[in-house]
Amino acid sequence: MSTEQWVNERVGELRPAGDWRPDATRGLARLRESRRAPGAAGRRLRWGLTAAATAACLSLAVMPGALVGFAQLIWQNLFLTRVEVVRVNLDDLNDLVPSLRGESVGGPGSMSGVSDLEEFERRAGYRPRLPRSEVMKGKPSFTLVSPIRERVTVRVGELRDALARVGAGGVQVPQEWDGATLEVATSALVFAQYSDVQVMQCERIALLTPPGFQTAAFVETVFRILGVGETEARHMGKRFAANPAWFFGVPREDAASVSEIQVRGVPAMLIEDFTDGGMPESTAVVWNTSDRTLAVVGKVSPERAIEVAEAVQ
Amino acid sequence: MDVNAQGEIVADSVADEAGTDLESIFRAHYERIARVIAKVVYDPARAEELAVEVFLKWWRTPRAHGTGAGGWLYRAAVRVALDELRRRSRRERYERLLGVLGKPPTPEELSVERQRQQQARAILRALPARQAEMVLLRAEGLSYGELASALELNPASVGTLLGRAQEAFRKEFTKRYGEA
Repeated sequence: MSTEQWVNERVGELRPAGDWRPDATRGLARLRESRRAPGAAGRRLRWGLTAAATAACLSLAVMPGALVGFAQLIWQNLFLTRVEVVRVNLDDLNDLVPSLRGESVGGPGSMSGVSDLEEFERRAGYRPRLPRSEVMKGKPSFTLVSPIRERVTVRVGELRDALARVGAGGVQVPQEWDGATLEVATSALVFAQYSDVQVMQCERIALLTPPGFQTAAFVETVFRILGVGETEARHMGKRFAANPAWFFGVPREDAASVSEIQVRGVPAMLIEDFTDGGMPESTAVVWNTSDRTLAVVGKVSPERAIEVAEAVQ
Repeated sequence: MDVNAQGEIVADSVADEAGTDLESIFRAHYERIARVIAKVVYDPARAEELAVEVFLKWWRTPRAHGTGAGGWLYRAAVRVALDELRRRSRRERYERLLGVLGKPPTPEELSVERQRQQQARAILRALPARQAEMVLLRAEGLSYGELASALELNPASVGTLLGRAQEAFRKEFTKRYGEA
């Protein structure tokens, strides 16, 4: 079978969900409504998420979810005190190494609204840091996510198979890794939703690995599977072992700009996402303080995101 | 570009007849545009929203009016669908990692058919946008000429570029899932 036939066969299997059929009448009504209020409709369509989904998605888009993305794979009573942006799709691990999908320990974290800071502090055990009120519009609404604990179990065979499939040579996967469990535990997380941005934070994430687990080699192995070159992957492993990081994955194929900036004198990452058409989609600033990891994310300019980050006290 | 009753592309005529009349263009192309988006994003409600967005974008883009309207709409549809796929993929990753919105897969999600679709979507999401667009449009039945028109490519280069895109798809698919 030719490559063209092979590919067309697989792509040709794509189907809309269920027995759905496009409803032109409903579409036309929506079109007319949108024409009457093109600005509002455009925004609604572009950012067509429900309030709940927005709370979940935007909040999860930068902070612990993304940052935990790699952290959940590695633990050894480590605290992650810096953020490192890597141009890989951490999601690819789901396909390449299914055993590295995280499993909740004790159930998934629950999400609930919190009426004020006092209630948050009582339930979360720490008081969130927020931007000065003079740079924000209105008061925020708070969402609290209970502490999360996730676990993965290493399967040496899967790691070796994945390395072979992606053609990454020269990586030794010790047999003694087989069955090792790795966990990540976060504090409660808070999302403060303002009119234009969301400010997210948690206390540092603890990583727990079996005693003597070769963290550097494991990090190197995972990044080789994800397509990072031999030398760079080795350096990443060594850097992690010396100074554990939250890895923030930005897929290479995504239109995104990543740069290092300073927020109140400490290093921070500025991440600008664009649509495939080159339009700004979202901006995030992520940084660590001595006792907190924070992120500001929203569909705002980089200048605005930095302004909010600088105002967090 | 026009479509027959089965949604197949047969000619380049609708835009000529419709000119810049948004609703005429909408009626002529909506079902096909919504369907191709829905195939990629697998979310009918979102597909309908995005389809309307495509037509509004066309309406606001005078250079897209005229004979090339059908191709422009098709390209825009595939582009917004892939964009949505990437955006949603990021979102779902974060959701799953946090476990906040995690839920066990449904029997439907576990079906072989659905899994094969998910595999194809994962590869489309991983390919460079232009290659994913070419693969999708070709699988939708566009000829080389229609591909060149829709993607504003040199017709002489389409075969080479398409071949590379399909090779990239197959290579990535095989790397992840084998040749099955």
